[in-house]
Amino acid sequence: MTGRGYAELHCISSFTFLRGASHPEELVAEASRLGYAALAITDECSLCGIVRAHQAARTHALKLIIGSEFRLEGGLRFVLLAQNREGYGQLCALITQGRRAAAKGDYRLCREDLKNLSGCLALWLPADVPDVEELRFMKRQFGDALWVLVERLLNGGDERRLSLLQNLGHEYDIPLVASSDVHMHVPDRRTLQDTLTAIRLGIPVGSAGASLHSNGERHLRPLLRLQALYEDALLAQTVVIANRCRFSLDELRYEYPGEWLPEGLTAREYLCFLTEEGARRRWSEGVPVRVSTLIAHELEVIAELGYEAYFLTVHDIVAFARARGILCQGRGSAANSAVCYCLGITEVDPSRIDVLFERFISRERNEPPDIDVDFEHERREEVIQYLFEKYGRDRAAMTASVITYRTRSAVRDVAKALGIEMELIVRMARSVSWWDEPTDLFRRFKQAGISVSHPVVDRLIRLVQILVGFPRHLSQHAGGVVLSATPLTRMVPIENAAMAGRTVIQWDKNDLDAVGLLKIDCLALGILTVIRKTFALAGTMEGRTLSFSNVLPEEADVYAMIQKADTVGVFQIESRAQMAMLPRLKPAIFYDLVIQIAIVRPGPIQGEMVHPYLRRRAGLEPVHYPSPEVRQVLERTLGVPIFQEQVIKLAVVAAGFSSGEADRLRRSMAAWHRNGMMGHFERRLIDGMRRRGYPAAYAQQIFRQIRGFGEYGFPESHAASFALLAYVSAWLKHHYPQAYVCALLNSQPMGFYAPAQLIQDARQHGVRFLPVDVVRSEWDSVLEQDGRGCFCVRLGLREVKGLGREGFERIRQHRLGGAGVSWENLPVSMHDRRCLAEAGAFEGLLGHRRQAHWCLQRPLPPPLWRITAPLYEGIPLLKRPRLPEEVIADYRQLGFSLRGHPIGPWRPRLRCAGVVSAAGLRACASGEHVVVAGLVVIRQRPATASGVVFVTLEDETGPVNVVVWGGIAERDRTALLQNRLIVSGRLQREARIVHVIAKRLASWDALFRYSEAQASCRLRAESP
Amino acid sequence: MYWLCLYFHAVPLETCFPGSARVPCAVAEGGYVAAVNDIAAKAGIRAGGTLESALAVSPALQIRPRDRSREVAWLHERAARAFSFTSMVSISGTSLLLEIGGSERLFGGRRCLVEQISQALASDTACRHAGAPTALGALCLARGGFTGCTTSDFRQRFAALAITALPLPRATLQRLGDLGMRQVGDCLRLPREGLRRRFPELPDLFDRAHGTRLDPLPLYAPVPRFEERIDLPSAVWTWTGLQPAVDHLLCRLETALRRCAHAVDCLELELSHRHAAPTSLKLQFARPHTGARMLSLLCQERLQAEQLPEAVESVVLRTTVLRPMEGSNGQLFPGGPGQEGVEGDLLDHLQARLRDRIHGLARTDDHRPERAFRNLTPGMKSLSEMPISVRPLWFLHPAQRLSLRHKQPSYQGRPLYLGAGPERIESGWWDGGDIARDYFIAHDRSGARFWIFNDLRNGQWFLQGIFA
Repeated sequence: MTGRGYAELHCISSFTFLRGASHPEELVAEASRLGYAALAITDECSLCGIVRAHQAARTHALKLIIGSEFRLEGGLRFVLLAQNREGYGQLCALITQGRRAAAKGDYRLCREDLKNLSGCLALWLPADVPDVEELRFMKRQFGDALWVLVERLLNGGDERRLSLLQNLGHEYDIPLVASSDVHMHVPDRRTLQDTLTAIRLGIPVGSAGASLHSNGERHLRPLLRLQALYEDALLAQTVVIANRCRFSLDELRYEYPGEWLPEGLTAREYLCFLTEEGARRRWSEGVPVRVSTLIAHELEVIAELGYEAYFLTVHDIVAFARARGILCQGRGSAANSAVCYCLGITEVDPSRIDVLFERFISRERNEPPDIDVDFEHERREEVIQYLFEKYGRDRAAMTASVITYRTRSAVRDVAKALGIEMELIVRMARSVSWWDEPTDLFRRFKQAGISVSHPVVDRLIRLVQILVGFPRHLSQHAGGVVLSATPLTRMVPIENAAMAGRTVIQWDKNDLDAVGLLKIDCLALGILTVIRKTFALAGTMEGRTLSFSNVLPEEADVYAMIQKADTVGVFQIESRAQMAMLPRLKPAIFYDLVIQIAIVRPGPIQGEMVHPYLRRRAGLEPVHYPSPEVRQVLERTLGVPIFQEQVIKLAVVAAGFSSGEADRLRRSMAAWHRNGMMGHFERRLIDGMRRRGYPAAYAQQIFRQIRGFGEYGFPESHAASFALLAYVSAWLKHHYPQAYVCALLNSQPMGFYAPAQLIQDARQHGVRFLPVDVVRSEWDSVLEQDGRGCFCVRLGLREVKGLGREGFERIRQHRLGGAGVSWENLPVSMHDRRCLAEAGAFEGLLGHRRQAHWCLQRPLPPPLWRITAPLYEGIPLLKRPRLPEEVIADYRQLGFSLRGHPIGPWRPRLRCAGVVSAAGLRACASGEHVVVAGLVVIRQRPATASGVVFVTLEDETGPVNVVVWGGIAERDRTALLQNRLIVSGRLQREARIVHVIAKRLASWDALFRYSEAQASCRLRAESP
Repeated sequence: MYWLCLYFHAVPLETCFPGSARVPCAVAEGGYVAAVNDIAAKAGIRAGGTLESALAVSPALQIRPRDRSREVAWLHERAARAFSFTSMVSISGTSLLLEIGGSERLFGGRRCLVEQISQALASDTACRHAGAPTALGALCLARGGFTGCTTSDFRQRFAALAITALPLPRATLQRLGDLGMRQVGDCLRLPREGLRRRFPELPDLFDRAHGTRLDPLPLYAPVPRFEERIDLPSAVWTWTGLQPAVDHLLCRLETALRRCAHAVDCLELELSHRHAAPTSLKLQFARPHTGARMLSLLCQERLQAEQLPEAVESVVLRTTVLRPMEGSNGQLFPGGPGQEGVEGDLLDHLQARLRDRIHGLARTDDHRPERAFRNLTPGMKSLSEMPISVRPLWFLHPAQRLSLRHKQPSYQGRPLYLGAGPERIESGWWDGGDIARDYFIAHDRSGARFWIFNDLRNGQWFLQGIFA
């Protein structure tokens, strides 16, 4: 076969966005099935898809050639193939150059850019009418490394074109080579390819006309057909070229950067030095023996695998942040190692927690460790720009994240491409939820009253099913930074991100793992901002500096507060689900918090681990372990696997997995519903456990629990890092409620609650708030001492919706004028003036809102007049708005009100109608029928809860949790979508947590009908 | 002066959903809900919301895009009818304003007149009508939900209106709302100078509503059209007999056209007979004309191609659509560039003589040969620039099935030999016209060349065209 073999040298994949109609894996699999000698993936100015192709090629034992297709300014088109490592680097550099010269998603290259390509082979793509001048240029540029691509695509005139090219090739002594300009792996993808063309052009496929290909020949054609189409010589050339391309991605060697290394020290020595120094700092009275053996063990593993540089790089970043006063904390079990504690990467004391260091760094697996570092969300950019500056643009870049089509976006784009009218598109897209799989479309459309039997809809559904999962564009990963000692552009192309000043590499996170590149996740975490701001504010209150070291561990009062679920604004344990769990789990020590955070996750909930754990903890159920090994793994969580590490250890000790195997199990757990790999592990696990004498039922249960984890399970180390922040934030909330709420307000948007709820909660804790005031407020909320020396929170102007930072700066400038300045001439836009007046920020200066509006609506006089002649005019007598109106205006402009609650004025009427307030619910018995009413503050519909909607209502006395079952939500959906709601239902009380299980929902107007009906009932009852 | 306002508040809905619907309906404009019917309103859908949220409230909602041009046509038609009651009619938004003070005596009093007007113009549609001494006043009253006529109590009623009745932009209404203004009267009580400084348009608006300031309105004028008739002194059969009458009519048309600076690109000539139904001749031109001489020539061409059933007794000349005239520069030297007119005249002559048997031909952007071109109105230009492979001049549509002889396609008993090809065309899956064919150029023994294809679905052979 080698004599007559064929290698496809021009093939684009789905990573040539909106052109290629097959995934790299599909192309590789099909080429291998057809018996091709090799396949080149040549996406247009891109190497995004080659790692996936490389992995697939390894599976199918197919030779993969790496290349790229280009179109220069002026129209010259050609394909470059990497011959060797050097050629690959040159290709990366060329792509980087083209991509960096254009806006995101585009590239720009011209003939002058084609330099230093000695390691590449070039294939010229002649235009419809071949341009001899192009050929001469290419010949000068590439000499013997040039071929002419002949693509017989049955377009009419193929023969004429072939003979023309043969003459040219003969004249200039350039060999011809066969190819198919592949866009898809099978001809059936033609419909999708046409659709992608239409999406790319933004027109319906029916109007795309000549932009569509006239047939579906651009697929991987069987060898027999190719032999019928091309002369042997042309086919043979493909194999000649394939044999000259010897590069494989396996050759990439990555080197860690090392500029932080002091003169004369090796990385190992330096790491040991820093670790010892850190240990002395952490344990001033002497390092405990357990810890020092741990450190020794860890250093040994790190040294053996050569990861010193990785730890030192992370240490360098963290040291930079510390120096700048940016709070940060490491995560992941490599981070929670004793070494990282000594290096200051994390604050979780290894003597307080048992972490499986091997999970992240093991001898078996030659893969880089993974440390995520969280930074304050408002200052992370400083850290990233530091890295770019320190390592340079060619050695540091962000990881990409490939944005793929989801069901809803696919429906939108395909519907547009099929020329479906706008109204129907809106209706279709609406009927699809983000969690819907494409297979649900049929059902969803039917529910929405869309005729599914119509051929257009049928076509749409079929196309959407293929399109989902196709890459749409490259975006930047949340925080993954790639660093390297050698120029990165020789390893992977770098392109511009949408955000100014950011550059991303063309590979995503999974690709990096496969190739073995170092990635450090610099993530943004809002709570760190809050903690730093609270430290600063509380520090000024007390006249000293506060930091983590001032936070006293294990304070009983703080745990008492947590047990009461009094945790609005506390990191992680503030959500409704967490709050419902707190009074049942009653965390009393740090480790309880770790469990609390890990257990309220979809994984443990779906794996049915929550109830057994709670029962065992309350002593209602005995804990027994089938064997001492299992006991050792699960003892700290009372026999229930809650953390990922436990699952892995369990697989090792109970089912006899090797650690590498267990690690593969962890990886497929994350993706089990995507690749269906779990079937293999299920057999392996259950058989292994049976062989070791565990009962089948127990093995089944363990497997169910493992599967339940899915991608949602928390590693213990992760939970520990978060628990620490949760404790610190709870401690601050307990001791410095004013400072804490102030910091929270200044870090919005973040967390689970809006300012209205945060303020309401803080007021219930006795914090006093002062309203926004154009004279006194700063941009942020600040602490202000009242006459008696108590600290109150003066709300900042950032709370005023619609007012920009720029507007505030002008106000500040204006304020500098002193007491004599005329506030009516405040030099801000009419829009800003309106926002300020409506927010009541002029209350102290000009009187109530309406008066403020009257004064501020007057247009500004021309600048010169402002100084000379202030205009005096009468202020008309405008009535102060009634209280409910003021409250509503507050809510509209600020999102909260210090004057009252919008529900407050309705209370007499609600009381008449028999509605109970949130405070009143505390006196009601479990099982009692109640009616509650309030503003809808949160409406959640978790994908895992089969249609149940969780609603949180709020009235003037506090929040009410409502559970609406799917059927009722569907029946009363009109009411459910309103922003004020009346719910009648049954009260459910469990360990201080009160829920109302809704039986009927009614919109606010029902209040009138309801009270009238009640009144008439009463009348009838009273009349004899 | 006394003005009546007819406020057709449901026009957007009625033009999109004629007749009363039993399902929730909404009219959409730019992604927002512009109007809703009662059922939709009851379900909680409000005008001004987004389509997304409207569909969230009521998934069964029927949505149609707002049709402004139909609304305008609808109002124009009503305005034309209103001319039978008064000569001063004005259109404002979806309202008609009628000055009825001048004609109320003619119709037996104001009350009687208003009744007749609402009977004639608003009996079949939702409408609120209000009368007031000023046009703007009447408009505000009708918008504010008031129905009836005011006189001395106008000021009082006007002051009691909600401010939303004033024809003001939404932003202005919002600013008034900020000041706590609910009724027009609240605004009237504000200091006038202060009000002018903040809302320059408001004092003026109040003055016009109260009649203390002139309010010039754009008055409605009907669209120009031409229709005239001549009864012939005696019945005639031939063009020679008809020509003087037609020429006379065309001259009058020319005068009329010049007066209003319009031109015609179609004409209707109606010839009445004693017994038979009238013969109606429609003429369509490639370019607009005004000159009677040219039109006369074209009428002659058209008439000579027609068989009249009977002698003609009277002639009616009618134009339905007039076009504003576009002037063109004359030629300094005769016969210079700019021969378009000549080309157009030739077409007009051909069209008048051959009637609808003449077409233009244009390429269209489609790979499927049978959809690669389409007929055009003569004189129009094709826009497509799609490159084209070899195609025969004589195109057979539908394609003709070829029989097989010794597995070889044959045409009229002669075997065909395959030449260049195949050219594979697979396209059209999106509109149900999916094809998959291999095209070949074939020739027979005599050397005649054919364009044939093999349908890849069933293997059958077809003849698609013959090369010249």
